Amino acid sequence: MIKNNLLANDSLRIIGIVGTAKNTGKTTTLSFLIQDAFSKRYSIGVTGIGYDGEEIDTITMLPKPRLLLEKNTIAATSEDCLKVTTADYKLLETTNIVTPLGKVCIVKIIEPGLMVIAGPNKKFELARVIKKLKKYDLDIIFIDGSLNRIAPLARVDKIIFTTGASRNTDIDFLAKEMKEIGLIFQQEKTKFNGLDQNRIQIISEQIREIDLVSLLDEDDANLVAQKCDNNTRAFFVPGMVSLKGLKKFLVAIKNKSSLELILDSPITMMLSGEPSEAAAFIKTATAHNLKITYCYKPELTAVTINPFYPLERNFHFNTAYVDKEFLFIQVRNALAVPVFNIKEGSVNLLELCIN
Amino acid sequence: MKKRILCVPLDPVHDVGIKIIRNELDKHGHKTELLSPDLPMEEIVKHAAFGKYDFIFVSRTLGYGVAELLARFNDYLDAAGVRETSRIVIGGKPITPELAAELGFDKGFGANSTMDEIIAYVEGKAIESTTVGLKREKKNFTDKYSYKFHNKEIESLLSDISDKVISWAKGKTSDGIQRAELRKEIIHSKNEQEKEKIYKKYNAISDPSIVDSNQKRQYIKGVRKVTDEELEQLNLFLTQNHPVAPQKIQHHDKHPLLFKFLGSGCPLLDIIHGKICERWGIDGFLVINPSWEARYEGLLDGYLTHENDGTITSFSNINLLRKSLDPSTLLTVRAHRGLNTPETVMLAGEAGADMVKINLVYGSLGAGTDPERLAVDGIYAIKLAGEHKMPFDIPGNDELSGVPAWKTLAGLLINVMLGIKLSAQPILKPLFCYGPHIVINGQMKNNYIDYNVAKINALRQIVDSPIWPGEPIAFMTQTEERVQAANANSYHAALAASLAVDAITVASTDEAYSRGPICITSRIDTIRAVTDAFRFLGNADFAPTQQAELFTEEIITKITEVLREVNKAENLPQAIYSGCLGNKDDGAYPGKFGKGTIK
Repeated sequence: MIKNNLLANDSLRIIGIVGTAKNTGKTTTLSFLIQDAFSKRYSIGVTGIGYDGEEIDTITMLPKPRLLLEKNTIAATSEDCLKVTTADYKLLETTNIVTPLGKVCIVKIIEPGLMVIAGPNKKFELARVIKKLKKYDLDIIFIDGSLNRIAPLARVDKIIFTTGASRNTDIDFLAKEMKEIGLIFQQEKTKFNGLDQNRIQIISEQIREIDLVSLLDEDDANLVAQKCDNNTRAFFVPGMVSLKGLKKFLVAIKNKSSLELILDSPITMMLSGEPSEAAAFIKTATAHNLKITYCYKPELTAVTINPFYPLERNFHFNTAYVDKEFLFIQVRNALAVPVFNIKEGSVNLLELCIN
Repeated sequence: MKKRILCVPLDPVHDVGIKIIRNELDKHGHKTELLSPDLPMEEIVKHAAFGKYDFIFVSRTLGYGVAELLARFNDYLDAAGVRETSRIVIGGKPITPELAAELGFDKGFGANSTMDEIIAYVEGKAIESTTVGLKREKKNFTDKYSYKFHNKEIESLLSDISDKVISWAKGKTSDGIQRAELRKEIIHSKNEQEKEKIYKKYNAISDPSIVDSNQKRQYIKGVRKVTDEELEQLNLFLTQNHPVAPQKIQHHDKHPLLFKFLGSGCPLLDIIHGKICERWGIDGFLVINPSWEARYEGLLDGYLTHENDGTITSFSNINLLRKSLDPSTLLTVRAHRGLNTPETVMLAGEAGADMVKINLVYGSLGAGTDPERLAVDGIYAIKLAGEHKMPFDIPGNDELSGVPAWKTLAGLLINVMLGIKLSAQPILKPLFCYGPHIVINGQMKNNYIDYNVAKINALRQIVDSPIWPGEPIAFMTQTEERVQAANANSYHAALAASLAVDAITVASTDEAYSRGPICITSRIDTIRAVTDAFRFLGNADFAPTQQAELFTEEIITKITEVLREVNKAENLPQAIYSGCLGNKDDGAYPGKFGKGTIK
């Protein structure tokens, strides 16, 4: 496949789409981006970190393919998904990455059709698949999220969040939550380079290591804080952090000033607790001169909103909507990044992704 | 190599499943550790990170918000680096591969997973997918029977009755028999001109309505050709679907096979229902034809659908059913009604059916065919079934007209002896029903068990033959209410299992009340109910009261009396005409279709 070289600096863009909940419009957003990128002749790769299992034929209990993939698209999906695709494809590679739906295969679409995308579902395997996809000289790789999962997307360039009434029908809650997510993503990238990803490090004149990857509870917090002295400038936690552990850590280092806590990525902060709690911690930490930074920093590029939600009545789900205009305005006013309703008018989302 | 496995019951309460799995993993020498239920996520992640486990097994019942919780759990493990060293596995009844993938697990085990699959996965051995074939052999339940009679008087009477009717029928023929022979020639002829000539002969001895349908496509009301597009859609359904894991109905090998009817009128709908029922564990089907097929001389050709009860038993339709169902699924075709009995047996045999349904007595008394015509046609048909190695099942549905059980059973036994003499393999099909005679005379006043047991025991004391209660079981004990209907079927099925019969036929829960084609959910109702009944009963037995023995003796005595009466008649048709096997008082009338057509 020949790369179209349409991008300004000729570099590959890796775009992840993440939902705050099911039915917030991940697939709609991804479909829009794929179609827009295809019409503008970009060479595209598509994979996903799970399986969007919403659409099952209730008679046959079979998955119904959801994404329309155009000719020449490169897709990484599991073997079982290829059995139900309506697209014609050429198998380029069968990887040894195994999902519950079989091995991840890399295919090239020969004739357009619908496909379920269920690729690698963990961070290090997604990194391996992206590496393989890079061989095919692509302009853009799109990565579909799954449910509310986010961890595997720590290494993408740009993230688009989808939110909507399916997450919560309280529009003020949605706007506030996106603002909090915005704050988590706003924290800076660290200036420290070459950190060991396998253990916690205390950065002073020299780098000291602790045989620990994550900061999860009071014991962890105390262990790390004890290693801190007057020369300590920063801590690096490559694994997971919990708010419980972070709060204890903040207490344990309260007398120290101007420290930096380096986390893997904003995703780590997102996983520490609810966005409201994580954002509140960032504010408290900042007030106590503890600066949160990231080793890897995907950019929060845009947010798409979806007014739809499934309303349960008498044990049946019906289609329902919140006020789409009010949702749009409230989320837009809460955020510094662009907000879109994909189903309303023309949207320059792709441009934001590639620039 | 032994594996290190962390078992995590994420559920606050339900941790039985994971304890069972842990126990099995321990038995296989793996090193397991079980966390206490309902621990905070951070604690589990910490434990998982420190332990360097090969696998982390998680169990959790699903409910509102649990999917998001499990997805988040995987994210924690991913962020903590655990997923680079441990494979994360979810187990639970509703887990499917799709759901496991959606939630971000490496593997999922659900309700249909076996312990062998789990062990194979842990040990890195190849796992045979449970979602492909039915993995069963085609059953033959006639081979193990000797057909030896234990009751010598009854054997002698049956022998005389059979000899007389075979001798009477010798040299006689009918248009039905001739059509069967012509049909065979048509199927095997490769020369179109020759075929056309045979068709002319066939049409000359067929009803004009059948000839018009076959030649001019002027079909009988409600009949139309299945379109090429519909056949193509069926082909897509059969070839492009990924089948779900098959279920097993029987809890152990001695439990009876389970049969259902197919006869919606549309062969495609039958096949779709059939394929679904196969996955629920059904062992075989009975193809039920439209009642009007019995009244016309001749059968329709081609792929045909019928907007009413009964699927047309054309060669193409039977062939389509046979080819579409799993090779291990047994298929029996109703042949004994009416003027096309020999031809239907011929078509069934040529199209690959496994059995045919023939009863000379019931076909005459309950289904409208003239006794003489059916005797001549039926003897030919039984012979034909034997030649095609198709056992023939003998339904005792005359009991539903009001005929007493002993007369019905006497009729079944006459068919058994005819089968033996004509080198075929007969199968007795006494009813498990609350028939009119029983309602009036109170044999089931105290329970539904004793009299059904007595029928089976009586037959067993007479002859060593396969027994397959039908048709269907629980007839007239079902109401329009689905739960009641499923229960009624399950109780009768459990009784049949307790009696170690070979097979049973079950209806759907809406069989008698559907007011149109029965629906698939109602079919599954009774399959599920019977599966649970078999599991409940296991290898235990019902304990009938002493009354069952008295009923058994009474039935044998009265069967003997009936057969003595039948034997006094000149031949079987005369015995039927005279009411020995069911009379007007019982609600049975000798049929009239085909009267005077013996040649």
